[in-house]
Amino acid sequence: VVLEAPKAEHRAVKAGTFGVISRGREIWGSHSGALRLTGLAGILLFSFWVGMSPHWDHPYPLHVDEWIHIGYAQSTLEYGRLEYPNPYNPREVSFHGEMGFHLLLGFLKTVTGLSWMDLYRFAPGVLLALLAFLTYAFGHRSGFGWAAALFVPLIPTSIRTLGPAFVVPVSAAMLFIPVTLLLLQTMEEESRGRSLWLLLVLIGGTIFIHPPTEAAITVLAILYLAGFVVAALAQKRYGEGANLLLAIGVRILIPVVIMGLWLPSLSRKVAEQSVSADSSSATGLLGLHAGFPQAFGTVAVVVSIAGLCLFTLRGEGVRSYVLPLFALLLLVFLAFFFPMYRLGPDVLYERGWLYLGFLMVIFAGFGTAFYFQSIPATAQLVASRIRLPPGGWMVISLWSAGVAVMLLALTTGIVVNEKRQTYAQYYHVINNLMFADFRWMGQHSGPGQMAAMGEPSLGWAYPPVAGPGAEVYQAVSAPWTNKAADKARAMLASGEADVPWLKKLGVSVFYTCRPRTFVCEDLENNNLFKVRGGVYLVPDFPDTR
Amino acid sequence: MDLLAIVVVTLLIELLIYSVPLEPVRVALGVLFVLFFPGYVLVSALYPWREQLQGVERIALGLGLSLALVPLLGLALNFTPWGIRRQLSDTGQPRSGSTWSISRLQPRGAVRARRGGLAGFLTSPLPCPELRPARLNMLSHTLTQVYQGVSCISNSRQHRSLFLISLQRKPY
Repeated sequence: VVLEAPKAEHRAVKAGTFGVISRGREIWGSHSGALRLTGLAGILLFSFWVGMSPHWDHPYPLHVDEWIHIGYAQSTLEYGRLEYPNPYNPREVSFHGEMGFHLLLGFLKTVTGLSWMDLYRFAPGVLLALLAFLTYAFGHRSGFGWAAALFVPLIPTSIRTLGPAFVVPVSAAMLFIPVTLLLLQTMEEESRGRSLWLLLVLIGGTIFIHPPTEAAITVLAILYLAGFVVAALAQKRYGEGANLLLAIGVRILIPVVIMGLWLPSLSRKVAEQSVSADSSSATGLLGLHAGFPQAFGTVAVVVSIAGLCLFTLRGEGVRSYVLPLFALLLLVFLAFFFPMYRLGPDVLYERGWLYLGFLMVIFAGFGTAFYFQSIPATAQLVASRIRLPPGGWMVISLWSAGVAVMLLALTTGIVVNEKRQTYAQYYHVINNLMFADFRWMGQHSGPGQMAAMGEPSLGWAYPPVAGPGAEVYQAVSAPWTNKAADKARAMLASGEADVPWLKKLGVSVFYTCRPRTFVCEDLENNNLFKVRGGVYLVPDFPDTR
Repeated sequence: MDLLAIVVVTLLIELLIYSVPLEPVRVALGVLFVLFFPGYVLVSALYPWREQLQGVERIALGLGLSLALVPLLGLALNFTPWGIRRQLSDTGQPRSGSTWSISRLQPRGAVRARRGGLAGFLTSPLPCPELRPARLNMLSHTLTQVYQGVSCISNSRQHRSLFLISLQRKPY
């Protein structure tokens, strides 16, 4: 009786564990569609929450680049053309390289009727959830979509590299990466001609939204198509190989021609800057990036590396070696080539980390999904090694270990991540009071009446808040500067305004509040008319028009 | 049915923009309208059969291609005499959305007709005769847009009041 008791207890535990597992399988089998949908909704909500986290208590855009693009999008709608007076330098005519992004914002604003601030308040969350969904769709057929989508919020969103939760061109253009991958994946199984047409449509979108991302996608697409060519030639399908070679040629030519004809000066500037170590460039002023892997999360990096190995060994089709190859090339460029030789566009280096982050998410997702799919086989293997009968406890232990690693990767990557916190130095450019000041200034300015900011970085926020037609003398963010910016900052520091200088520039109002601290400086000059703390009118200003 | 729904929502959007002030509905449908419909319709045109793409992939491609098509539409509008005015960006989208949807419905009907003869064609989602009023509607709308464009250009220089007028008033 004494010997039988533990056995009976063991059987009961075993039966109970198996009962739970079989019941779980039963529920999954009968409601798999609904459960999958619920799981996906949960993942998308999580992404939305991460994207929205800096915006819950701050209704305004955070990054200067967000303000800049609102300003340009507003001017596009105001003037109805892609060429318009630059709202940040009215003496210049703007023909912005990222005009596609402004058009997208403009359409969204006019069709939904939302204000810029409302649009930008919820867009970060929506954008991140959208990237998660598209990543899910890419990995869906191979069974790793859910895991990859779950890891999408790990891609660091920071002031420097921006990131998918800032509403800027690179974030919108990043959405094209999973879409392109999905199309290329479709080409492995479906008609290639139709997908090639859609690839051409995608070029049109990416190149006008964010040209550097188009460059990255072009490399990715060429590698993928080259993989198809090799596969076709290996199977002696020479006609198909020739067609694909033609497709590669067209895929390279179209962006080159568009950039050359559409934006020749920008293309020339980028080409020149790519071969020179310009000290005024972003990397010249800010230095190289450091700590991206730590910002991504150390555990998540380990999962990604494991996933990369599995993806190469166990992945399906052409993508199993094209994506690792692309990731390797990108890593070599970011970690060795650019830092050593400074060859290549700065912007590609700055934003390239995001693309690498996206690839790491895919690999981490693949590794995680592979682990969970392999649990029954792993349980058998482990049980045979430790000479115990395979049971439900083993499956549950392995499953719990997998969940624990996932939670650890997410927690250490997003919540408890010192590097990410310092990396993502969100700053508040304006507060409610400054918003009201800008609105009032905009409502009471006429044509040719420019505002000037004592702290010129605030200039980026002025036209979007003040409304269509509002002009600011200039907008410069530190560490960039120029003589006029230095002069304005000096006036703020000394408290003495140089009224003749302001008049000479055609400035009608001078604003002395500072971003982030929201302190408004007092100016001691009887020639200025103080309307309220921070708002000073310049009397007898000339009309510059 | 999906494409028919897109045509209906497209027309509904126009009502919401110009006539019915239902802001939350306008936002919800407007986001779908800009970020989903154009691409979805294009995907449906190229992959008309359900088995060619899974539902999730169809939705994902619809979203991605819309993001690419909308800027291209804006670029095209830039080269029209009216430019990217509010009236045109409001109505250019619905027009393009419904045009693409209708252009897609016709081939589906034609494919069905090839497969199922006349009966198949008659049961297709939107038979050809329904295209005529839609085209007439588009024509009339284009004329409206011409009028709106002209009136918009003539009114676009109505600028705000002079800044210093505010000196006479309480600023806040």
